[in-house]
Amino acid sequence: MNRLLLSFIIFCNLLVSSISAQTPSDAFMMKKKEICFAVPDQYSSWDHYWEGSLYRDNPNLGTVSTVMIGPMIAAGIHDRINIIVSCPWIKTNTSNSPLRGESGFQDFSLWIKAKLYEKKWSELNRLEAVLSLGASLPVGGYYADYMPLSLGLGCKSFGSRAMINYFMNNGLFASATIGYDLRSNVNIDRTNYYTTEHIESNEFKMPNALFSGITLGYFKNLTRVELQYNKMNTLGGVDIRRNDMPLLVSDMDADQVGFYIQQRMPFYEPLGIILFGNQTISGINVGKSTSFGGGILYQWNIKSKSKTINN
Amino acid sequence: MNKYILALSIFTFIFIACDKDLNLNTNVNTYNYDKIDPDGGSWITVFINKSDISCNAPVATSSPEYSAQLTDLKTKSATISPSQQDAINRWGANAIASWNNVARELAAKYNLTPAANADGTYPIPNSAEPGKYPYFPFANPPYASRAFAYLAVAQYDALILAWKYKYEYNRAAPYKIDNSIKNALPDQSLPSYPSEDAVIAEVSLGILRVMFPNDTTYLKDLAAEHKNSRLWAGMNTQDDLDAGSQIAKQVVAKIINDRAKKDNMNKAISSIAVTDSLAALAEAKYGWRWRSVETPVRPGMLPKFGEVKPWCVPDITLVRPGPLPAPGTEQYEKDVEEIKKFTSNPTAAQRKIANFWADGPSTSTPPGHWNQIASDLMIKYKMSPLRSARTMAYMNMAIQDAGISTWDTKYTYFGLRPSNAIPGFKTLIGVPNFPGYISGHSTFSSAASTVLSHIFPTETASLNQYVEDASNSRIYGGIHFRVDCEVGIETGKKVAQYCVDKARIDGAK
Repeated sequence: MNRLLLSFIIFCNLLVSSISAQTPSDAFMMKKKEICFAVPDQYSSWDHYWEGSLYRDNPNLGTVSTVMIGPMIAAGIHDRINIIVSCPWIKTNTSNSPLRGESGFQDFSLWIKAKLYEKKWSELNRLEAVLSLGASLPVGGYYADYMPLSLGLGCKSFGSRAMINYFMNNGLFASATIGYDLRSNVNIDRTNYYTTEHIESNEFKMPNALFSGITLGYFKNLTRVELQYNKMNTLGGVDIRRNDMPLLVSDMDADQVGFYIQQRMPFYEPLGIILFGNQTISGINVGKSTSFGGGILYQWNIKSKSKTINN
Repeated sequence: MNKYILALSIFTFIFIACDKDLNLNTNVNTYNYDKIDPDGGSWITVFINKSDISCNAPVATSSPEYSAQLTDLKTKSATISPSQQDAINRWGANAIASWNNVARELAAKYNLTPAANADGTYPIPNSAEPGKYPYFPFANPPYASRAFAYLAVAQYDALILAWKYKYEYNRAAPYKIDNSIKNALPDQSLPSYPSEDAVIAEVSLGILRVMFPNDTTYLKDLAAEHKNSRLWAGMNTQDDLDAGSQIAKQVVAKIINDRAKKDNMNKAISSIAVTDSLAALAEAKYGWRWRSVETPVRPGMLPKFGEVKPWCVPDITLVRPGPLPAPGTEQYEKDVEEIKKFTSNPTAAQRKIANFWADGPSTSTPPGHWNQIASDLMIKYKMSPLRSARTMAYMNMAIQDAGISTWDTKYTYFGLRPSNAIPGFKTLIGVPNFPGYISGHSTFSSAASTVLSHIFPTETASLNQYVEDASNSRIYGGIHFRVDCEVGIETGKKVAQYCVDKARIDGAK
């Protein structure tokens, strides 16, 4: 049953990269000395999941839910270089399982996002190539080998995201992302487990993961709206066996659609609200999760008194 | 630019930190046996009557037939491919441990509860169609304990017979008869006819294919590889191997036909009606009954496993503990408060113990965990195959008897688990689907440890610590009250004492 949590976490990670006011994989950069602070909250749940490719429910789990509070800070250290830091706090629960839910901080992550190329035809109309490199580290010693209620995967990871963004004068934009996460082995408190073979080890060899996505959106003045399509594929990993618990090393693929709305306040521009949602539409070894959330952001420029919005 | 370099350095460091090689418990180096026990053939067997087993006399080493075999052996051992070398290494250090590893693998592979049918009933695995879902067997802890026990007992009895004939026929190893043959494994100064490795390979195949029939092809390949590895290593001639196989096949047939088919295991799995009727008896007598917390309600696991024939305990009711404290009594309430405290606020150390000893689905089960411990000790103490098989036989008989006693007790008293007794209670590990009192892991562990402490007295302190941890893991995980665990430990000791008493007088010094 616990595989669900894993997929959930993966979804959380995806969400982290799509909910915030600025993320490693979105189309936006902040200018030098701009700082953005956001606290998005998100609720996700699923009551069906894919056991391998078998779509099923599990009355011994019921609905698996996750609440995430994901404080993040992004800062422009240069017009072309941003740093993004986040450390989500997560709480998991099931409606029917006797297993206890977990709560605590998940992974601390640090990303550096750099605009490598820009071609401008006008102030708004432009084409950009952006690269993000990041790393994440589990914090707080959470128990990863506790799927699907674990707070995270428990591995160190090294990530990269490459984006191509095109903005038009009327505010419409399109962005395509591709990314790769390299994951470390995870130490576990057990002596053996079965995947497609019996492994007597106190470690899991985590599959790496490929991410890709397309975003279509509108951004002008104080309003930003996005429609997103995201895919995650682990490279390797194993199917959940029939009626087995999920493992951290499961082969997890998911296709997700989502939206993101950000609105700055006309009466006080540094302040904004965000709303977002996601739906998993297909997958392997993941929960069919539905997520929604919202939050506030605050963005200011420490150099000038004038509060600027990005771009 | 310095910032770029710093960032790149950090990322490079993390990249390197993402090491991908698993820390595996394999690759044992070969060693010289601590004892070879030339009197091993006189030791008392567990089940087999020695006079029932025959072994043809070997041809003389001066005969043309033997010369032909030496010629064949020279060809096979002259050049070794990397995969043949892997096989020599795999089986060459301690073949009892290697086959035990195979048994643990199969236990883990089949240790999954069958999924419910659409109508809310549960299918029962069918040994006649092992490859059709639900796969046969469901290798739960009692099932695994029995598989490990039959494997080890058959290996042990067959090796006692092998030793008997080895010293009766006293044929030297081929590389001692012909110097041009190089032995790829240590010379153990054992007579080579019949081959102990062929005995182990053929017995292991014979027992495990009955216990795990869906993997017969895999097992046959392993047994063939094991036997061939002796030719590739220059250790045995073909007739050494054939004689070993001859003994093994007779032993397997006796043990399977005269014991395994008659030990009541076929009656151990029962329907929900059987669970309910036993539960009704308990409820009338004690005022409580365990209930499955699964949806749909799953029949209790193996309600009649308590009636399976034990190995060392003459009558399982001799070791059945008295009833558990009733709800409302001081001890009961104390246990309730204790387990609430552990599960609501576990320390990292408690959580580690709960997980390390969880041994749940898709693992080799608690008996498998102890087999892994015993395998490591056999290798640490450089045991011969005969001594290794003896260790495994007595330990696994004690473990299975502990399981029989545990299941007898569980379905006599139908003791509540914390999940039954405490409203809204949450656990840290999965809740097993059978009554609580007494804890299986506690009983298995203390039985295993009692036998291992007898055989490896210098390990007693660490073995006792394992028992304490394994037992506490059930409390920390929230699936057993302390009384379940404490009485489990006592019961395991009582059970194992019968096995140790047998071991004391079996002739092995």
